[in-house]
Amino acid sequence: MVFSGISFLFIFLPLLLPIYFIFAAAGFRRASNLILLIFSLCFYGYNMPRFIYVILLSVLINYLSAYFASWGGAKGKTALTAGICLNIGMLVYFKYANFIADNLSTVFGGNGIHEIIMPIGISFFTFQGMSYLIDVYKGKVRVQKNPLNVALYISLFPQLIAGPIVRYRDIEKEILRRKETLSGISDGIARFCIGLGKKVIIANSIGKAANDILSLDPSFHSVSLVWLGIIAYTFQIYFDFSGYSDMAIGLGRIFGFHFPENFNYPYISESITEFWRRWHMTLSGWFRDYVYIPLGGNRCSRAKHIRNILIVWLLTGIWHGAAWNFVFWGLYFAVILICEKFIYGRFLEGLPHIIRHIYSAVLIVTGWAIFYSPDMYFALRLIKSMFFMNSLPFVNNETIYNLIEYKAEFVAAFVCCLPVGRVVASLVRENRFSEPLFHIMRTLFVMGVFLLSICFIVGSSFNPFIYFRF
Amino acid sequence: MKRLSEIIMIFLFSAVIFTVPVVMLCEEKAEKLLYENRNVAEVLPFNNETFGDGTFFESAESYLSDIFPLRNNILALHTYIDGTILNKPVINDVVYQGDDVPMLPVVAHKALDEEATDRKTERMAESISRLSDVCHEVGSEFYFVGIPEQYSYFRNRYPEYIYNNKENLELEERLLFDKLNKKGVRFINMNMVFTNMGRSDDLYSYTDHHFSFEGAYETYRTIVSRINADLKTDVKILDDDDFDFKEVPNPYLGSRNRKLMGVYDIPEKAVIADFADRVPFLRTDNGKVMESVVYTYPMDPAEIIDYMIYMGGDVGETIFETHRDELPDILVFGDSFTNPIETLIYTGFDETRCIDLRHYNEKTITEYVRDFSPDAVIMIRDDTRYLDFTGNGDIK
Repeated sequence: MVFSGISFLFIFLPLLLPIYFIFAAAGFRRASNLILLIFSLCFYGYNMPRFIYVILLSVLINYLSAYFASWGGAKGKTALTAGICLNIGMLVYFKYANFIADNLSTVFGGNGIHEIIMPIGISFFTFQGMSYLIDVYKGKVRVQKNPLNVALYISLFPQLIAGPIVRYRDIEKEILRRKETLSGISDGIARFCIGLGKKVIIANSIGKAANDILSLDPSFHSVSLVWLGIIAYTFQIYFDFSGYSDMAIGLGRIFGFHFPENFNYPYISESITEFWRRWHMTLSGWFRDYVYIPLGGNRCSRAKHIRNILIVWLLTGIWHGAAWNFVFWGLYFAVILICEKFIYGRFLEGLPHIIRHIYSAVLIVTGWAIFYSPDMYFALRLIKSMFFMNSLPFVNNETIYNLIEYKAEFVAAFVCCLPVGRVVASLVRENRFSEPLFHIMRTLFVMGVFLLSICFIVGSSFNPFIYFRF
Repeated sequence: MKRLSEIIMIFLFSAVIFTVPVVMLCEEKAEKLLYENRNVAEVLPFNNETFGDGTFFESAESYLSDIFPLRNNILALHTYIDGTILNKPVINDVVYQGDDVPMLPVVAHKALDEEATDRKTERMAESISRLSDVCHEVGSEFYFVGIPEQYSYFRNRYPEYIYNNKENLELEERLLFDKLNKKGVRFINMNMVFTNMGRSDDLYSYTDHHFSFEGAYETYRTIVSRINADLKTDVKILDDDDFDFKEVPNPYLGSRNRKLMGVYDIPEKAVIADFADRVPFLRTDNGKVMESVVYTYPMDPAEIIDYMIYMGGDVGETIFETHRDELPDILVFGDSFTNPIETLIYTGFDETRCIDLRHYNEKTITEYVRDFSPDAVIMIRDDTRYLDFTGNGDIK
């Protein structure tokens, strides 16, 4: 089930909300949690019911291993190791087995294996489970003795299949003691509607441009067209993923949870280092806390520091997908981050803002070209086309057509990448708008976006979710 | 004020998400979606298989979308936003709508591959040639009639920056007719005929992918003239003295305009032949005797009509019997382009049979020709299907 689907908006939510709030208002927290858990499992099982067992297995692994890990000592360490191995084993089996088998059969011959279908969201809920397990072992959180609460944490539907990656410590207290308030529900609705709009009005529309352009036969390509296609994809992936995160955070707020932010206007970055502080922040934070720092982080020799960066980014690449282009994508950013840290970071800081923005934008867009590509051959072809290495014309009719056809989408996407909302909020704080007017405008705007989103959902069949495959 | 706006926000959101399912439950469900020209999606039966692989829920999602309250209005609004507010040249991703030009489709880009096209046209020409040989064996004369599809006819009306597939259309046409010529197959290339006539806009629909009735009439006239010339027959060719071109008053929904939810009001009407004295005939569709009519439209002039006005739409096999043994028999087969031609051509023959191989599967076309042995066999293809080996291109 997707948040932008009719079944979610008009069946799932209308069923869940009244039942949940009847119990929540009566103070039956365990009952309201149980309802949330049941609905979360239904949400997960909607598309592939046969994979419910995978999430239940993940819950069981993390509940038991965390329980034993909390004992500490050698037994605790064994439980931690076993838990991590089982989590990673499950991830490797479902996500990477095909990739590994294909590569082995390419090298050594053979027919590979039967295709293993990946349960959606496995990368997200496996990482959440592991963070709980590790934090329990390290004593950062107390072990949760009620398996239903662990199940709720891992399978909580708003963040279940595309994040943000919520750590147990973030919502430990809220699982049993949270307060659903009028302003929380209202803010949650507003955040959800804005996220829905980002997803269906902007991401889907600009995604059509990306799809139209990048799926064209290469004989119709030009340099500017390929750039246009990748820029469209750059916008699509941001609005798709950040829209989903907004919806997740908003839904969490409705039920009284406070999920961590996942994006902070990443495309206004002036360096790649800054970009990764603003993009998919919960994933970066996860790798920082559970991989980079345990490896020694930056408090070690330069060689080890570089090694740590390479390991983290190799894993980040592989986390996104089982294909060589994701490996290269991760290493691509590793090299740039190493260069910024050790070679030209200071020089970059001395450049005018506009140059730094252009520098970041070009590298980010190029990175998405690698990310978008189904294989390295395709990625190389795209990059060669982008940088005048394929003897393509600079402009052709397809460029002109797509610019005219998708002009509104490009302008809207560009404007919405900027912190416009933040500017408006600061104007309100400076009393440039009267507060009542602000509230009226906000309500109208949010409801307008919601209704327009419904119009787009019903009126368009193009509704992919890029991060579902991770 | 903040609290009030919070309450209003929650109320409005709840109102929308709770009202829609109630309306969906209570509203009478349509079976057909007029503008999308298809039936409402069906929910698959709930069983282990459909539940396990998720197809049950997938089909339910499509069904919910189809029965969504005010669906037509929402789609029309979406069209309006695309076309009028965002001023897109291509609306709803499917139709190019410029000023004072016909509604034209977005054509999928196809790289020019002369070698592959040559191979395919050779295969198609060979199939047609074999059918032509079968016709000759049973004493029939065979004609391949190529007709430009609407976007092909108006291909030069696309703005330069919108792809119109011109190179492929020209290559396929040139290669196919060259090969037919070399194989000695008789053909009529209506694209050339229309060009020689000055390519009037009136010959094609502005809002549909077919020709207009005038275009169909010119095609009919060309075919019968050619038969008369080749077979030394004297089949009567209908003209102004026999009928008037009559506009049907009902609003006409062409296939292109249908995709724009009829938002754009282009005053195009369906045209039919209004005979003072129609040749009487017996009509049989798929073996069933039908009412002797060739145009079907509602009496209420407010009701929307479409291309199905001609012959009532596509039928597997239609037989016209005029019981005039002295006249030749004819077999016409092809896609819906044949429909308005059928309304005219039967008048000049004793027995006219019309086959649409997309809907007829009792016999192959060669078996049909051998069994029927008409005097003339007409194969009609539009030029977007010259290399299509399915349906009426599946010559066995």
